[in-house]
Amino acid sequence: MDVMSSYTLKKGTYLVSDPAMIIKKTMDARSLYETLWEVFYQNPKEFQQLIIENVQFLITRTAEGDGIYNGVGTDSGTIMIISVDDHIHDERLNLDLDRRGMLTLRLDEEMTVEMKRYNLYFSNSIQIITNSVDL
Amino acid sequence: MAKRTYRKRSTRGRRSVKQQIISILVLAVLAFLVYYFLPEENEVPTPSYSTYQNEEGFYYYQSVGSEDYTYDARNLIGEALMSELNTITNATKTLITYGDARYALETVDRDLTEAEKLWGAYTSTMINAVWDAGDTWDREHVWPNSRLGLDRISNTQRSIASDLHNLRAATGSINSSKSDRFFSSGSGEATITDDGGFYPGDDHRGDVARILFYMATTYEELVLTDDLELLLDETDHYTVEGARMGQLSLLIEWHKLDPVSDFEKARNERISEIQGNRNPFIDRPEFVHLIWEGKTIGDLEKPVAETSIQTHMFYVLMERRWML
Repeated sequence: MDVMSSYTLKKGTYLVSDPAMIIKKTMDARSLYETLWEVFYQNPKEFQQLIIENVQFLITRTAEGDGIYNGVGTDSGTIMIISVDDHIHDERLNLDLDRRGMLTLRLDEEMTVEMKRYNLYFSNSIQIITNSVDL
Repeated sequence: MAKRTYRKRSTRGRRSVKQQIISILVLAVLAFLVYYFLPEENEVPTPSYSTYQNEEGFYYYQSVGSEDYTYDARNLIGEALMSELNTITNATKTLITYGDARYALETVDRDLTEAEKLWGAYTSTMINAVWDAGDTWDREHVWPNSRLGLDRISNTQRSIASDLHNLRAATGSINSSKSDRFFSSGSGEATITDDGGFYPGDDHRGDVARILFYMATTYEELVLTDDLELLLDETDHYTVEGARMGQLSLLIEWHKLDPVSDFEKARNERISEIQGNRNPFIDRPEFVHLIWEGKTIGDLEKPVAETSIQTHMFYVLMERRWML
């Protein structure tokens, strides 16, 4: 597990979403889902880079739990950023693009993403504000 | 002597047979009593229904006066009852904003014994009541956020997403586990289930059932279903088409197995003071049977005089004796 306030995203396609919409609700994916929360909640205030059962992603909690923040909805109170290209053959994941309630990022070049007070700031100026203090 | 001896033996023999028959009869009666009135070790425990329920868990029908807010729903069943309840729950409903719901829950979800704590959803965790920007607890949508038919929720909005009846204080961890999952069968503590659902825990299953019944009645766009294929389909989350939750038949079962609690009654009262409306399935739990189980009011009427257990046992014994 890495804990930083910002990370670099290489060129490619990413989904910004509630993990509950990415990780399928199948028996094969159950362990991934359970381990995710076990690991994440050891350090829930941090913007974490996790690799769990060969799935790598960034994850942060939202400031205010469930909601829809700049078009990204969450029932888990968390938002993940995951590379579609790196996991396209993983049957445990639903990586369909452009679904309602999530953000699809197509990056032609590297980009950084920073978390401040549970808000996500991408270097291409996209923001996901989950902390109402910053609205 | 020989004759006398023979007689004595003969007399003893006749007595012995008589005694044996009596003994067998006594043993048979005892065995019968044990069989009928003592629980077997492996027997499934009888659910602990409340005094407001019959032996099958159905809540008795309550007659109310004209001052009661459900008075206009009297004598109604099925769709007509659901429609009237929709009118009733919406007539006085004044939603607060989703932002204000954070602070309302500080009061609404207070534990009945520890006044400084909230009774956390699903885990029964005692949570510090003061809202601390999600560090300790989240606003959990029992009917998930993604299944409410909305594509936008903000702290300034008053909408279905800010209805206090559907919001519960929950620790971040359990809120994440439950996420957008439908409710599914289980026992014991809250956990995700093999079929992709979530079991809310023995002490919370009735609570969530009544919350979902309220939501499905108050908001016409919400649908309760048993269709697992539909419940697992997440392609239409955040759309009206995806505004469904379940599993309905389980909720009905849980409504009986986990009767209305004092916490729910207090919570209903507190919400009515803030939001202006009540969850009728907490005040009138029998409505569930009339709407979703095809029962009639007559089916749910409480017997005039309850037969005492002793009398009941006597009649059972007498009946069995005749049969023997």
